[in-house]
Parts: sequence; C-alpha cells; structure tokens
Amino acid sequence: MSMYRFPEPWATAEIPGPKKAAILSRPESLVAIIKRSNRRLLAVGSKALDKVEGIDIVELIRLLSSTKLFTIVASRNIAYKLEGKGIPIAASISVYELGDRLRDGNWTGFDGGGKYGLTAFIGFPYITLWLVLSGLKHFAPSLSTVSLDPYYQPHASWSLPNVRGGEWYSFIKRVVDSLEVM
Amino acid sequence: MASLSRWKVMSKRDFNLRVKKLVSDIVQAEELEISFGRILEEWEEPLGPTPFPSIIDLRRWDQILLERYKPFYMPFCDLCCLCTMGKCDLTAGKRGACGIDMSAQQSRIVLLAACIGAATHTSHARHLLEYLISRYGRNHPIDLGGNIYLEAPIIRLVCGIKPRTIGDLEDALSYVEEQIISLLAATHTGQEDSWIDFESKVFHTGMLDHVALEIADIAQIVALGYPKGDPEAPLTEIGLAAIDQNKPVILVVGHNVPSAASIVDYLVKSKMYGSVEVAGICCTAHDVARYSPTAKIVGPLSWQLRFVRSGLPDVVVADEQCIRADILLEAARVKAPVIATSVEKCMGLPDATGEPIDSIVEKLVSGSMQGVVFLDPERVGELAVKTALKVFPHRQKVRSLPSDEELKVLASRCRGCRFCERACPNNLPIAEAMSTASKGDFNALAYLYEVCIGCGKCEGACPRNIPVHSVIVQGARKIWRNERFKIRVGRGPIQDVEIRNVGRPIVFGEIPGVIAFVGCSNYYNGGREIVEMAEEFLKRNYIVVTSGCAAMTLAMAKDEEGRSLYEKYSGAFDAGGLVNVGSCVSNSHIAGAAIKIAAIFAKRNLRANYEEIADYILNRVGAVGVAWGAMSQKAAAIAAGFWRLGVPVIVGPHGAKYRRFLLGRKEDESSWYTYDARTGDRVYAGPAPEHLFVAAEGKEEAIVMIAKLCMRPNDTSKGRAIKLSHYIDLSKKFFGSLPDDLHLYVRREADIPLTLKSEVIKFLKEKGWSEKPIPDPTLLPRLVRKR
Ligand code: SF4
Ligand code: SF4
Ligand code: SF4
Repeated sequence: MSMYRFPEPWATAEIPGPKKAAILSRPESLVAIIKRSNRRLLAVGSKALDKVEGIDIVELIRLLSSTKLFTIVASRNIAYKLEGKGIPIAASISVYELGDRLRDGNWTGFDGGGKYGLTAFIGFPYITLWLVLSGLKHFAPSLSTVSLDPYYQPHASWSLPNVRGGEWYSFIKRVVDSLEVM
Repeated sequence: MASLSRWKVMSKRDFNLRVKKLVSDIVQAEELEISFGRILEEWEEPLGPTPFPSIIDLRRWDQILLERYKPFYMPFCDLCCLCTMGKCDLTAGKRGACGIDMSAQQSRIVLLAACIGAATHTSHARHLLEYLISRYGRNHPIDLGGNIYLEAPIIRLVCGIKPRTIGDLEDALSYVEEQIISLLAATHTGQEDSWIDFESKVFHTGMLDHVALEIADIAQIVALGYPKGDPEAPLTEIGLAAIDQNKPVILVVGHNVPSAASIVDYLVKSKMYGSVEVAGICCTAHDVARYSPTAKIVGPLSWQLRFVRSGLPDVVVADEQCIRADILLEAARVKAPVIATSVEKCMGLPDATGEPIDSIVEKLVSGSMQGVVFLDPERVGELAVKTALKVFPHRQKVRSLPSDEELKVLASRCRGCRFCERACPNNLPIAEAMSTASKGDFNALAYLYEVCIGCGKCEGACPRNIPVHSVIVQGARKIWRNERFKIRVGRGPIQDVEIRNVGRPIVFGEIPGVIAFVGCSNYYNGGREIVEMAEEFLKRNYIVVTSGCAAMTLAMAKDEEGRSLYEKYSGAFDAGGLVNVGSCVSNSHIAGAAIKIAAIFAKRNLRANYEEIADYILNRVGAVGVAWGAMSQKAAAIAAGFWRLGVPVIVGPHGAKYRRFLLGRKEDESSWYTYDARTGDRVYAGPAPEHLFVAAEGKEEAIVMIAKLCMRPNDTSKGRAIKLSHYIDLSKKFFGSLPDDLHLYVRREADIPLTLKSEVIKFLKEKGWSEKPIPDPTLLPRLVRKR
C-alpha cells in the first residue's frame, strides 16, 4: 500500500472544504461509474506527453482511447501531438474554456449531442485541474467529474488517491481491461 | 420652485452644480455653473460626461463588458469565514447565514483583492506625493519634456482635470482615496450581494488604481529627474554577479524610492559614490536605477531569499510592498542590520527616527539592535551608508548558504518523502535532485534553480530540516556566479510623437499589436518562458512594452553573442521595440499609451470621457497584457484597470489562483454584435477580443492566444491580414495546424494573407464561411452618428 493513500490533496495546503471527492480505491468502482454514464468525455491536459511518477501518460491515454467509450479532447499544445501518435482527438481546447462550457447548462457539447454524463481528466498540472474542478463542483453540481491523475483531487466527484506510478498504471489497465470485456 | 435640468456632483468634497436652465420665483438663468471647493479649470478640451465618476457612473459600460465576458469562478474553498455567523458552507448553490451565494462571494473576494491592491498603490502615491511636495513644493511643475504634452492621460480621462503641478495631483488622489473606502465598504457583510455589481466595482477599483499609479509615477519622474519618455534611457546592470562583493552593499527592497534615493544622494554628497554598492530588488530597484543608472538591480522579488542568503548585502533597507515577511529573520542569519523605512512595514522594530544617526549606527553595528524603523527619508541615506561602512569589515560577507562540502551531506539526509514537493507551488522534483546531489551531481539542483520562485515553502515542509532552497541555490552557484545582464532603465511615458507615428498602423492593424509583459515573478515554469514569448513577438514587429519584475526577467537571458533583449532591440515605442516603462506604478504609461492613441491619433475627446475611450480601445487598439507571473493583489488591481479600459489580460498558470476569469464564448454569435457607428445597424463583428481575462496552461498556448487577442473589429483588411498571418503561423508552429476558429476572424476575402490564400479558402469552404461587413464598431448606441 502506498504511503500516499490518504484522502489528502497532493498539494498539502489545497484544503477544499466540506465536499470532497470520493476516492477510487478499486478499479471496479470506476468501471461501474463509466458503465452507467453516457456521453463520456476525456479531457487531456498539457502534461500529457510528460512522464509523471515514472509513467508515460500517453500510454494511459492510449489505453483509455482503445475502449472507444470516450470523446477525447486535449489542451491545444498537445492535441496535434496526440493525433500524431494515433489517438483520435475530437477537439483541442484550453481546460479553462472547457470548464466554462461544461458549467453551462445550455451547452450541447462538441458534437451538438447534448450534455456530457461524465467528464474524466488526465495529464494536468495539479493546481490547474484543482481550480477547474472547483469551478465545476460549485457551478455545475449535476456534472460528474473524475480525476485520473495520480494525485488526489478533492474537488472532483471521484478521484484517484495519491498513488505511485506503478499502481497508477495497473489501476488504469485493470479498468480498461474490464471495460473491453463489456 | 426651481427646476434643474442637468446637474453633476463632482465629488462629495468638491461640489459642482451645472444648470442648463434655472427658472424660479426670483431668478431665471441659463448655462449656470456653481462650484464649491475646487473649480474645474477650463482648457481647450470640453468636459466629458463622467468627471470624477462615482461607483455607479460607469456601471452600464461594465455591464456591457460583463454580458459578453462572463466570470467563471473557481473558488479556493467551499467556505466563507468573514464574519462570526460563519463559517458558512456555500457549496454548489447553498447560501450563507447572511444570504450570500458563491458567485457573489467569489466576486466579493475579487473585489477585496482589487481594493487591497488599489489601496496599496494609492497609499504609495500618497507617501510619495507628500514627500515630494514637502521637498520640492506644491508648485513643482509637471513637465515631462518637449515630446510629451498629453502628460496625464489617465487623470484627464477619469477625473477631467489637467494637473499642471505636483500639488494638482492631490485632487485626483483624494478622489481615489474616497472611492476606495466606499468600494471596500461594499464588501462588508450585508452590503453588495450581486456578482455583476461586485464585478462592476472591481472594474471601478481597477480604474482608480490606474489613476493612483499615474499620480505616483508622474510625481517621481518630474520631481526626481527620471528619464522622460527617453527611448534611449541608459542601460544598467542586473543579476547577482553584477554586485561587487568587494564593496559594502546596501540592499534596497520594495517599491517606494525616497529612501533609496536618499542613499544615492548621501553617497554623491559625501563623494563615496562608487565605493558602496546600491543594489535593488523589486520596483525600488527599477526606480533607484531611473534616479541613478549606476545603481544596480539584483533581480525580481523572487531573488530576495537567494540574495540575502548569499551574504552579499551588508545592510537591508526595506520600504514597502512585496518584501518578504521573514526578511528580518533572514537578514539576522547573515548578520545584516535592517532599516525599515515605511509605516506600512515596521517589522516589530523600535522607532529610532528621532535619534542621532551615529548612536543608531553604533547599536546596529554592535548588534544590540538588529534593526530599526527610521521614517526620515532625508536622513536615511546617511544612516544606511554609515551602517554599511561600519558593518562591512565585521561581517566578512557571512552567508547562510551551505558550503560546497556541506551540500552533499545535506542532500544525503533526504529520505525521499516528497513533502517538499507537495509544498512547492511548482511541484518541483526536489527529492530526485537531492538523490543525485547526494552523489555529487548538482545538475538537477541547477535545473531547479531556473524554475524555482524562491518562496522557501519546501524548507518548512521538510521533516529532516534540510534547507532545501539554500541547497538548490548553492547547487546552482555556477549559474548565479555568472548572472550578469543589461537592462534598459525605465523610460516612463510614451512620447506624443511616437503615438502619432504608430497610432494609425496600430488602429488599422498594420502593427499587429502592442503586448505588455508586466507583473510579478511567480512563474510556473521559470522566467525563461517570458523571454521566449517576448522575443517571438519582437521578431514579428509587435511593440513589446514591459514593467516591474517582468521587465527584469526579460533582461535575464543572453543570446549566443552575450546580449540581453534590451541590447538587441530598440527602446522605442515602435514596431519591434522593447519598451521598459519602469516599475509597477509605471504601468500607468501602458494604459496611458492606449488612451493617447484614441486622443492623439483619433482625436477623440479624452477629458472625463471614459466610456467612449474604453469603447474605442476595446474595438480598435490591439493591445494585450501578459502578467505571466502575477502574484499580488496589486497585480489584480492593475489587471482590473485594463479590463475596464478594454484591454484583455492573460496570466500564467498561477494566475488562475485569482479564482475567476472573464471569458467570451466565441461560438455564441449573439455575443459579438456591435453597432456600426455609421448606420446604427447591429453588425456581427466576430469574437475579438475573445476573452478579457484568462490563464494559459503553458507558454505555447499563451503565444497563440496573444496573437489572437490582438485582433480587433476595426482592423482594416490589410491589418487583419497581417494579424492573421501571425495567428496562423503561430498556430501552425505550436498547435500543428490552422487555427480551428479561423473562420470567425476572416471577414472578407481581402482579410486573408496572400501567401496563405489557397489553404485558408479551402478551410473556409469546409466551415461554410461567408463574407461579413466590417463595421465602424462601437458598443455604445450614443456614438452612432446617423440618427
Ligand atoms: S459573511 Fe455571510 S457567508 Fe460569510 S461567514 Fe458571514 S454569514 Fe457566512
Ligand atoms: S523555494 Fe523553490 S523549490 Fe522551494 S518550494 Fe519554493 S519554488 Fe519550490
Ligand atoms: S521534504 Fe526533505 S526529506 Fe523529504 S524529500 Fe524533501 S528534502 Fe527530502
């Protein structure tokens, strides 16, 4: 068990308040959440080509993309590079502009098909995602958000705890494996 | 009974009544004007509609902006804890015990930050003005030299007065002080409760802040003899290695220059200039270099810890703002006495203002007092110099950095818990660097030095008591021992003749934009990023202006030939020029330049005509502010002043912690209609500028966003084609393709850059694009000429 597995924000001082993300301690929980949602969005951040906790994030995105369950959008500087790696990107957008649209009840999504049932996030600088998730928690309370980065994000609806790279990878891999046998 | 058809209260203190027609039992009069208090002096320009505007006089303009640029709030905390009925949980629609909801609460916090910032600049302006008036007299003329006749554009615009002497500036200053009190009052529990009105008040605060900035900078320029808009203002040295450690060193830190100027004066008077180093950090550094270009600049505010710990300063003279709260502790560790020169930062030290200098020096040198409050700017120079001279031989430049030998030992104490990383605002990989350093490889520490903001939070977090920041600094000694660059000292305002030359190409879009790199040094990924951003635009013939810590950071990199940007690019306000206006308060000249374009080039009436000029700037002047390392409440107030004036501002990743953006929605066509001033028709003008306040996730996104935000509805086709060629080129360079919103910015075929015509036309076809008219744009129905 990782020493970071406490429900504590990764950045020690980023204490959120009474409403905190439920921790995704088992892959099965995330599988169930994904299965029961429709119109799932995966937002990929500007660190997507970095190694974080020793893991190439792009490998995790490739796995998630292989499920074909997500519309994938990415930060502008990263989108075309992901496309170059064979990951289909529906739109490139800054996470702040995305957050602004997600909190708008009248927004019909990138394809005009209506609201998203679930938005997952991966590959973001910690504080950037922390803030955007806070905006969504308060101003889009009916939106479900999941943080898939290896750091506890208290403003999400669900978040991974603070985990080491190996655990992170195997968590996502097990989720994807379960989803593929759906 | 009298009937008043028009009246105007100028301010509570100075009452002015204008009556178009007065009919009463005893008198009949037309065009009567009665003033109590200061009379508004007449000059060639007619008085506009909003002299000394009250909090709500420009509310309609704010609402026009806020209907288009809506706030996206990102609260730091679910709670409000501002009164004893709380704490209150405001999560997701809940209301507090006072009835407030989260939108209002967040906008209240933004207003509080802006009020703190504006109050700080205003108080600074008050200190400075009182000192300068006492020294040079109320009648000291505001003479900015032969090339600047429109010398106080913000004060003219906001207040409707034309100050001729530094004493005249007090009218504007009193107005600002009065307004800030009532803005602050609006944040009390049970006062304002609507986000849109809080935001309008934020804009008002920002506008007032700009008035205060202008007062402070004009006063110091004219009284202290700074450069007056000189594009060839001298170059001076910046960097840790620029400071001669063989001499006594006086560190001046803060923002209010009189004490630093007093040190220079004393050195000159006692013929010691050159034998003592005067080295500045933060804006006092800018201003003392404007006063005496042989004064040296250490660096931006994030250099405080590293410089003090290096042991170079023999005395620390602190004035006000952005000075570390532990400067006294840090100075004690290197045995450097501290002289506090501002009532706003007394540090718990005894007040020695009235005491004889020699006795204070004795106590400071013996260590019986670690520091003193000394509030006499005339004599502080003597105190600082005498102390430095006496302390210097004793101190032997004692440092609080570890030695090279200690480095490895300290690093090997690390147990890899990463608590330091979790405290570090930039989440830097410290544990890894400690691990390699323990084996004698300091390269990773050197990398950390480049991206560390010098906050010291890592040290408080370390359970092994490793002085992490000191380890980083010492590990990077090879870098900072060569840290020596050239910076052009702040030149102050932009000349009228420069505005005349560039006004047309800016308004028509042929100079693709004016970009202001401003603000603090709270960079997410090091200062190098803003150097790269600035150079990208300098090479493309944008006008780049800069101030404050950002202006210092821009100096702190060299090309292959060893030149800083200031040595490579001219200091003129012209295409491809790099213009350092000076310190934080010099930001007024950046806003002033935009205002002067409207006044000098477009001949719009400036006086008390805020709304029209802001409408002009929003629609026609392609200016963008970039506060990449914005940290302070003052930066928030400055940004707010730019928002109301119609200038968009981009911040770096940490700037998102201002907790709200003002975002346009480009796909929402209805947001982007303006009036065509020629016909009165409502015309789609495109999403330009798209946002009023936004953060970029990284440098690449910022660069492309800057190019986009420079577009304005009024661009001629030639100008738009130039702006689009940069937007497209940068988008290809950093995003790998044509911009996905290009069709929103092409109005007619003639807007398309010639060399890109075929690929753009193909893209437009795919988007179902059709030509649109180019309006004479305004958001103000009253400016429609045809009735
Ligand atoms: S100001 Fe209002 S919301 Fe804040 S603590 Fe007091 S009652 Fe609660
Ligand atoms: S001093 Fe540098 S390394 Fe330490 S917490 Fe601050 S930014 Fe991070
Ligand atoms: S907090 Fe201290 S012990 Fe822990 S990783 Fe950082 S430097 Fe090492």
